[in-house]
Amino acid sequence: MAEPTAYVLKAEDLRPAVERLFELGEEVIAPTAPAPGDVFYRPVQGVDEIEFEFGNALVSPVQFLMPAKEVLFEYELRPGQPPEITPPEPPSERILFGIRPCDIAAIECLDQFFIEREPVDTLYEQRRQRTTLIALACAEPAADTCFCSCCEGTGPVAESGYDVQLSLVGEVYLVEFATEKGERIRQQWQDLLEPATEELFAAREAQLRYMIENLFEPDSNLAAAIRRVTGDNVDPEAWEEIGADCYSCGACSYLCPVCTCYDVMDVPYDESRGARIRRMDSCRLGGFTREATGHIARPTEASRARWYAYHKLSHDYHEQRSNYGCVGCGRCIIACLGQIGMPTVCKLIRQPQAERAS
Amino acid sequence: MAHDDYIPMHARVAEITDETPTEKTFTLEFVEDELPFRPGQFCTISVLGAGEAPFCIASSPARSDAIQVTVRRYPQGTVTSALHELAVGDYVGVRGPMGNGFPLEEFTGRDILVVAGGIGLPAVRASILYLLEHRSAYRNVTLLYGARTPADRVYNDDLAQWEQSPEIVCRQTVDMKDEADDWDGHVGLITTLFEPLDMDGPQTTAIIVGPAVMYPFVVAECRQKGITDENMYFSLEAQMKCGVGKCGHCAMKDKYVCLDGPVFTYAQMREMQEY
Repeated sequence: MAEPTAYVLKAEDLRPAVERLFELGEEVIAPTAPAPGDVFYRPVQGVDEIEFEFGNALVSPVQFLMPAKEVLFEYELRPGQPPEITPPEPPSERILFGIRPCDIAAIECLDQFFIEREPVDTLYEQRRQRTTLIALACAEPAADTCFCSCCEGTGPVAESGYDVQLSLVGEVYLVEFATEKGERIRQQWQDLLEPATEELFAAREAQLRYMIENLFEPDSNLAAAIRRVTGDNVDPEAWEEIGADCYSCGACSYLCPVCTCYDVMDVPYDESRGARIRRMDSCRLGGFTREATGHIARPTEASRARWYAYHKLSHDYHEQRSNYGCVGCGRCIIACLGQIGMPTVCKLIRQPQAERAS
Repeated sequence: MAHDDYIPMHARVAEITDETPTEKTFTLEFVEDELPFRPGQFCTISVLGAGEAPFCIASSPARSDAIQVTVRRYPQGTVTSALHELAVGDYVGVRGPMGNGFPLEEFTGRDILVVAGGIGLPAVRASILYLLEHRSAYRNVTLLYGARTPADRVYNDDLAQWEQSPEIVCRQTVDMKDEADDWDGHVGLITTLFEPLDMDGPQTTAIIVGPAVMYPFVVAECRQKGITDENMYFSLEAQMKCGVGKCGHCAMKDKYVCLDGPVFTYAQMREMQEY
């Protein structure tokens, strides 16, 4: 990412600025609140549909880059000749507005996994290339489940990964434009912007420090858990303990914006036509590793809990994602039917054997 | 891969051979494309409507306009069942080649020991054919093949030919046999074939494919003969969906069996297996 260029936007000019996004003729996806407290990212037609006062959505906006279900191709069987195969239409240009820094960090992980790491996933890449990301930094924790402050700079202000980032500092937004896609937005907003001052950056930094030191629960200590998992230095009892509280429902990974696993299957429409799709899958489900022989590689909750933690926290996987597999969004805490969201998992992982016994 | 992403190449079923009551070998001719591959690589085969599953390519890499795969039908396997229902002239989809394959060119000048248990033989057939086609580049080539019963043996024609060939030492066994079985060969587990072998262990590279239960015992025999863990090559099986290292199903520790494998040395597997 090029060095961001920074401007000031008056808080009251945010709505007019967002209104201009619709002039670009692209699909705009933004947070909406169809019922009080329920926030969903959805395509919107105008600024009035957008919810500006929100924490974060339970379903991450990464769903627009890596949908829960996606057609890989459609087919039609033809007697006596090869089936006809039709790939999906290329995606259209769109703007994701109001993305929280944790989800921006998650998208950076997905970029690394699906694009940088060969072979390229062209379906993801095409969508990603046609998507402009406008981040909305958090001026306070989005929820009491947030723990991005423990996750190496994934929030509450994005360090990278965005095209445009808006940070509310007092009565104004600090607006950073980081890419060519962002520059396009800057030109749209030109007459609403003034150059940012050093003082504004300093004020945001002070605000960020204050938040991290005072407003977040700092007890996740992801770094220590990562060291233990990477060094394979976890009391085996910890996995049993986590497994005992796991209902194998998969909710943690379905809502995790960094999780990428999927299933591939055929969905017949009728006798001769159908689609091959991919669909979100979860390594927490019992059948995830089931082979045609019936053999299941990870048959217990504990073995799957260990795998999930290893895949997210081990240094072995850092390279494939450019980050650890957790951005501190806290969705797994909300989703878990038990009590084993990532911070609790980290805590149990860190607990030495002696302490657990007592 | 020859084709991007998830779009399969069309192939026509040119021949179907019944190997056993549950195993068939399909010869698939590509309609437009070719599929150059290395021994030990695999491909996915689609029966559209039923789905897609990975299979080792069992034919010689000398031919890339058609491939052979041998498929065991599993009652719960939708794709293997659908494949078994196919007739000559039907079409399937093929994606590949996938995976690393056996680095046979690195084994030149060495003794090669191929150990195949049951349905593992199709996974090494391409390698055996390659070794025989490049016979002068290698020293002794030995095949040990074990099946559960005489009726479970696949590639009977190949095996009969290899047994007669001066270019390969071919030893076979079955775990058990009935009175009714027309089998006068060796009876016993595959490990019992090792004892009489006169081998130069340190000069030998082993290629081992079979059911996972076989591995610890074969590893012990290989070590006994002086073959190092670095020179034991396995082709692993894992649940696979995408074949391109993304869907996560076949991940073992930090490796994706479909992308980094399916061929791993035992030295590598020791690091991976716990996960």
